[in-house]
Amino acid sequence: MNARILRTLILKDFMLYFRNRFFAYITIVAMVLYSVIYLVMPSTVDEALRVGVFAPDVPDLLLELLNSRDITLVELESDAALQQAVSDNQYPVGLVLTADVIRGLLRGEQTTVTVYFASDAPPEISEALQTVMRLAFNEISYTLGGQSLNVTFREEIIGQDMTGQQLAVRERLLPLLAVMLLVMEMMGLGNLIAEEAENGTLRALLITPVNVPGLFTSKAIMGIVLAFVQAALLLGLTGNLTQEPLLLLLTLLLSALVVTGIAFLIASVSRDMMGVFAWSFPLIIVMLIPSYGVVFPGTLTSWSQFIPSYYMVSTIHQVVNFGASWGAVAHNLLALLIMGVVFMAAGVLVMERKVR
Amino acid sequence: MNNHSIVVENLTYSYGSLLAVDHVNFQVGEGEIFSYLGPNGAGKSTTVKMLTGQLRPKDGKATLLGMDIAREANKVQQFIGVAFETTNLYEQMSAAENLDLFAQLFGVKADVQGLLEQVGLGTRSKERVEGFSKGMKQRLMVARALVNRPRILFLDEPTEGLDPVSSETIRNLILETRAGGTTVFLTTHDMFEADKLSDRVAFINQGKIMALDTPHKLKQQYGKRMLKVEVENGSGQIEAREITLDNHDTGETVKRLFESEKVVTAHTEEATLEDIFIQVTGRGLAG
Repeated sequence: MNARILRTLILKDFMLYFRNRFFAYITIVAMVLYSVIYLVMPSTVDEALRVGVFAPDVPDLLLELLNSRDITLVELESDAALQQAVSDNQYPVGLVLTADVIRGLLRGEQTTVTVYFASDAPPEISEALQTVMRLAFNEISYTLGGQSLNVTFREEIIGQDMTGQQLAVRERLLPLLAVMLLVMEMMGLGNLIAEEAENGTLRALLITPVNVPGLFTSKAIMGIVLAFVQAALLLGLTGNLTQEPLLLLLTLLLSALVVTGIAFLIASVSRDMMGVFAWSFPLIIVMLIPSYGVVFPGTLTSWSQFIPSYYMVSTIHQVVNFGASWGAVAHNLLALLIMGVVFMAAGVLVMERKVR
Repeated sequence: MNNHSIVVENLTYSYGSLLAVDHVNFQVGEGEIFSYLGPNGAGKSTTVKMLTGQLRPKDGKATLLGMDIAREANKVQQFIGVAFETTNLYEQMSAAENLDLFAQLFGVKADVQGLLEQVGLGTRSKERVEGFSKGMKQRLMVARALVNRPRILFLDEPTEGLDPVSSETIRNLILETRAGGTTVFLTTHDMFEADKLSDRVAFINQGKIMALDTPHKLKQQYGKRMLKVEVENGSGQIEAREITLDNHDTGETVKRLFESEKVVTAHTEEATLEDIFIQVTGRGLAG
């Protein structure tokens, strides 16, 4: 099959894809919407902890000491007002600093500080905030009285030390948005192939000089280009193609190969758009799981490495957010390449059986 | 017709244990309209699929324009046009875009507007096919099959379920196409259509060809021509009589009848292809 036929088929597929209003809508709108979501999300991390305080007998010096430790204290006029503010989630934590507390701090004695948390605060948040408070008081006690409180903390950081380089929400969202675009394309291409098979237009094409390998080549090119261009545009529009652009583009290209292969598999078991949706949605949920691990660190276990999208998420995350180089993500690229080839081969094989 | 466009020898196909086409043999001459008649499930569409390279024969051989379809399908497909029994157009494209697409795939410059006018869709060329009626879609399918100016045109049930106007348009198009030298292979179970259009017809039943000849010869061979008369008897009542023609004493019988009876009406009646099909196969065409 020659280049003219291939070009004709690809143009035809693009035309049909964008004439399906649903897929045209989700393709263009999703790309714009995801870029906007990224851009409106905070680009900085607010590391200061806002704490409500009721401190009737505490000298200003102590409050200034606390404020200087990335803790913003907001004084309230009464204990009741403090409780209400914490209950309304105006502050994640509320402190009651009495004269006894000050004495304890000055003498380095065992001291009890009343700390208010909202009843719906998760236990891990309460625990974390208490730790921050203990550290702050311990330090202040030492500064003021030359002796620390009777508490010691041992801190050990597992994995990458993110101290001082916390990621903003939008940076955490970026791999999720990129994967979303790719997997949505999986649905669009799957539908395009399934409908052609079901409507019999594939049969009509196959009694022209078009042959089966050529037909699938055109579909694969169309799927890869569509998925790749969208994801690349997202990274470009959000200003994330400045660092290692070739590495990122190669990652997206290999990812597009993977999702195109999966699209062929979906098309082979679907008869129409509803069938494509039914098969795609469970897959989309699974494919998005690795990106949750970026948004909510620590929530993934090692099994997520069996999900194809893990390698695209991991690579985008490492390159965009931590400046990883080719060498650091080479194993991810290799995994994507292998999976892309496997899915593509399997997809074309089963689809060919269906067509024949 | 010495030049054969299609030569079929022992062509066989089975779906599992079901023998759909059973060692079929025939030839179709260049510029001939050849009708392949049979009820649903007789093996018509399977034969067409093999002849157009969509199915590979399990046994036997089919040669189109001197090329073996099993070995040179892609080459043969340059010279054939196929209108399928079910509509398979790109519904989100316009009529003209559908034809343009196939012209580009064949690598030919087609007179798309002219073709659309030929099938009565000249004024609807820019409309999307999804808004077309069944008849319009079927006519567009025939136009698409002609886009590469085929030397052999396969039409699979082209007028099934269509209104009389659409059917007539397609029949005229078939005759025009043949006039241009194209061989037409028509599968249908519309005996009237086959009788009207075909140079020769083949009856297929349960995968086997039961009879093959011109409609006229089939009628001569299998059908009985009748003279149907109505006579008025002595009490003024009308009675129907039938006289078989083509017997050695037919002339004498007719003469006697007209001399002795008061003949009110008289007309001859020929056997239809359907009558012959039933006679040959022992079953009707309804399936």
